[in-house]
This record gives sequence, C-alpha cells and structure tokens, in this order.
Amino acid sequence: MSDIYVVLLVCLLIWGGIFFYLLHLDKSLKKIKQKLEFKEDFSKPGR
Amino acid sequence: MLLVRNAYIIFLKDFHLEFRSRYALNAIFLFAITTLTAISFSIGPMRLKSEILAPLLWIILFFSAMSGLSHIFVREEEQQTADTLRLLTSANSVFLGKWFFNIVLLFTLEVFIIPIFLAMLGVSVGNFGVFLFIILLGSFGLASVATLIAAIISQASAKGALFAVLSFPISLPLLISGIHGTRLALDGGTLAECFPDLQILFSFSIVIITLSLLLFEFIWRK
Amino acid sequence: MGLDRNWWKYFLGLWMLLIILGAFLYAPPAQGLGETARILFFHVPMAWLATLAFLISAIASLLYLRRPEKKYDIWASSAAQIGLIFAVLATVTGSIWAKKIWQSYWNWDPRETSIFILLLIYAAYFALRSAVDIDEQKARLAAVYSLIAFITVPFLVIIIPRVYESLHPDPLINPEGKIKMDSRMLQIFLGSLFGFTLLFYWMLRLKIDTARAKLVLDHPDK
Repeated sequence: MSDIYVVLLVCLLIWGGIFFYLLHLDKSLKKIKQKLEFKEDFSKPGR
Repeated sequence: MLLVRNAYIIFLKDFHLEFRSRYALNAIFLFAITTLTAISFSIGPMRLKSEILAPLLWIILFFSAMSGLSHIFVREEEQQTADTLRLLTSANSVFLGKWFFNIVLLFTLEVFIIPIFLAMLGVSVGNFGVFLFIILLGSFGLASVATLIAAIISQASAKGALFAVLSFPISLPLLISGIHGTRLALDGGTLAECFPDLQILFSFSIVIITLSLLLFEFIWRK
Repeated sequence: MGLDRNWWKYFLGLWMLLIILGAFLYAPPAQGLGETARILFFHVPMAWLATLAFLISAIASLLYLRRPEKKYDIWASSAAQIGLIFAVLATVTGSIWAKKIWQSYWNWDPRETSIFILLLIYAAYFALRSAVDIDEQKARLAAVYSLIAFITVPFLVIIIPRVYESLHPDPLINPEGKIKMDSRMLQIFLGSLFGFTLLFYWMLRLKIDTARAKLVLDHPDK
C-alpha cells in the first residue's frame, strides 16, 4: 500500500507549487500597486 | 395591448421581408435537405435504430436553426434598420415579434423536414402523438434560445461562429431531453414514460422566455 | 482580511498542508469505496466553489446591469474565470475517480454531463467577451450572458440528475448522499471545504486587483 504515500507526496508537491506560485503573484501585484501609487503622487495637480 | 400589436407588426414586417428574399428560409432548408440526403444515401436500404435516428433528427434541427435563426437580428444591424427600430418601439415588442418569427420559421421547416425524414430513412414511429409533441415542444425551446442568443451576437463581431458557440451549451438541456424523449417515442413509449423529458423541455422553455423578456432590454438598448 | 495582510495566506498554506496529510493519514478509508474515496475531499469542495463563483459572477452581472460601473464587470469576469478553473479541476478529479471505481474516464451519466455542459457554457462566456471590442458593450452583453448561464445551473445540477435518477440510478448519488460520514472524514471534509474557500477568496482577490491595476495602467488619466 505504498501507493497511497506516493499520491500523498504528489498532492503535497502540487499544493506546494500552487501555494508558492500564488505567493509570488501576490508579491508581484504588491510591487505594481506600490509603483502605481508612487506615480500617482507625482501626477497629482498642485504639486 | 400595444406590446402585442407592435410585436405582431414587427413579425409581419419580417415575414414579408423573408417572403421576398427567402434568405433565412433557404439557408435553413438547404442545410436540412443536404444532411438528410447525405445520410439517406449513405445508409441505403439499411434501417437505423432509434438510438441513432433520434440524435440525427435533432442534429438536423439544431444546425438548421444555427444556419437560419440568427438572420432576424443580424440583418437589422447590417442594414442599419436596427436603430430606427430602437427609436420607434419598445424593446420587448421587438423581441416578441422576432421570437414569433423564429418559431414560425422553425416550425415551417419541420412541417416539410419531418415527413421527408421519416420517409427517406424509413422510420417507423412507435408513438406518433408523443413524437410530434416532443419535437414541437423542443423546437419551441430551441427557437427561444436561438432568438435570445441571436440578439446578443448581432452586436458582436464573428457573428456566425459565435452564434453556434453560445447557443450550443445553453441548448444542451433541451437537446438531451429532446433526444431522449424522441428515442422513447420512436420505440413506442407512452406519454407517461416521456413525461420527465416533456417536463424539462417545458420548464426550460418557460425559463428562457421569461429570462429573455427580463433581459432583452439590456441587450437591445445601447 | 484584505490582500495586504499576509498572515492568513501563510495560515492557509499550513492549513491545507495539514488537511492533505489528514486526508491520507488521519481519515479512515470509506466503507465500500476504499482509499479512492479520499479524492472526494478535494473534488466536492472544488465543485461547490465553482458553483459559488458562478453565482458571484451572476450577482455582479446583475449589479452591472442596474448600475454600469466597471468594478462590477471586473468582479463578473474574474469570478467566472476562477469558477471555470475550479470546474475544470473538479471535472478532472471526478474523471480520475470514475476511472478508479467504474473503470472508465467518462460515462455521460447525468452529473458528468451536467458539469461538461457547465464548462462549455462558461467557456462560451469568454468567447463572447473576446468577440466584442467596445468595452461598454462587452460588459453589458457579457453580463446578460452570465445571468443566462447561471439560470441553467439549477437545471443542470438539480433537475436533470433528479429526473434521470428514476430512469438510470446514478451510482454517484449514493456515496455522496451518505449523510452519515465517519466523524473523522467529516472533519477533514469540512476542513478541506474551509481551506478551499479561503483559497478561492485569495485567487479571486488577486484576479480582481490585477484587473484593476491593469485598468489604471491602461488609462492613466482615470
């Protein structure tokens, strides 16, 4: 019944992949948002 | 009621235009006859089982509908008469008029195609009453779906392909019940046996028509 | 618990890790179905969340039709996208399980047919979006279609399986209908549902915020 452990390992790897990918997207998005706010501060009128 | 009267006027307008040019009618008939001929020729004297005949009939009906039923909206947009229509009358009267037109169109097709289908493929129908009932109810629903989707795609690009792509999944509940019920009817099933299919066909059609009346305004008005 | 807070994301990572371990090591194998039933811990939550996603898309579409603000359109398409992803995953896991217990990947039994139709319907949603160039029109037509699409869901998920139940007893109903699940299985199942919901929320927020950021980048004058 070692098959079940193989499946378990595969699931854990898949989850790991998904989780860290989402984390990566999250961080990239945060950087983009910061850049946008930075640009906005400069384009605001009356500065 | 003004709504019904306007709808009827729009129906008559489209009917007369269609009568003159016969564009949609030709498209729809041509497809059906071609398919039927090809199959009848290929199978020769062989008789097909109901499991094949039922889906075959619905394939012909569905794709004929795809060939001809979008014409009613697409033509308005292409000839730019649509905006005039928008100004002149309420959205729902436009919908009802064109919906009725599509139903008449599809039923007209069936009046000819079904006898030809039965004759060319040598079909013996078990329970003819139920058979007819299923076909009519199913195509009623099919025409309703087609009218709604036709309205949507008339404002998009790539109209032809998109029409089939959008209509097919939405029509699937109808096709499944229709094919299943038709098969039972061909085998001689009773009304009671076909009742679940009829239920689905009926309720689905009602839902689609209700939805169309609620949503058409948003499709039509720019 | 917005996107800028990070704690819940790490919590989710750990939570799902524990759930996966628990699904294989803590929960007992299902009676009669054995070890393969463990897939249900993942298959069922994904299917439910896909339906939830489509509901969110329909609600956002309704809100858009009442008040045409860009944010509703973003919610509608983002939710539909995540819903489609989850639906595809649910279908794939279901198919794998079907192979294990019924020896065939695809049987066209009522539930399999329904999920297949659902996939087509929402794939068509994106076909529609890409076929319309004008933003306002795209959002409006897509909103109408999203509502039509969601109306078919009760038909596909509830009515069709119920109606065809009486004709072809669906083996899938029985294992799922088991309300008396072993308590440890129930724990893992609920835990998995919770985790997947959190995952769904994260993915949805990422999608929406990305779309918003893209909007600002494309129109810097907003």
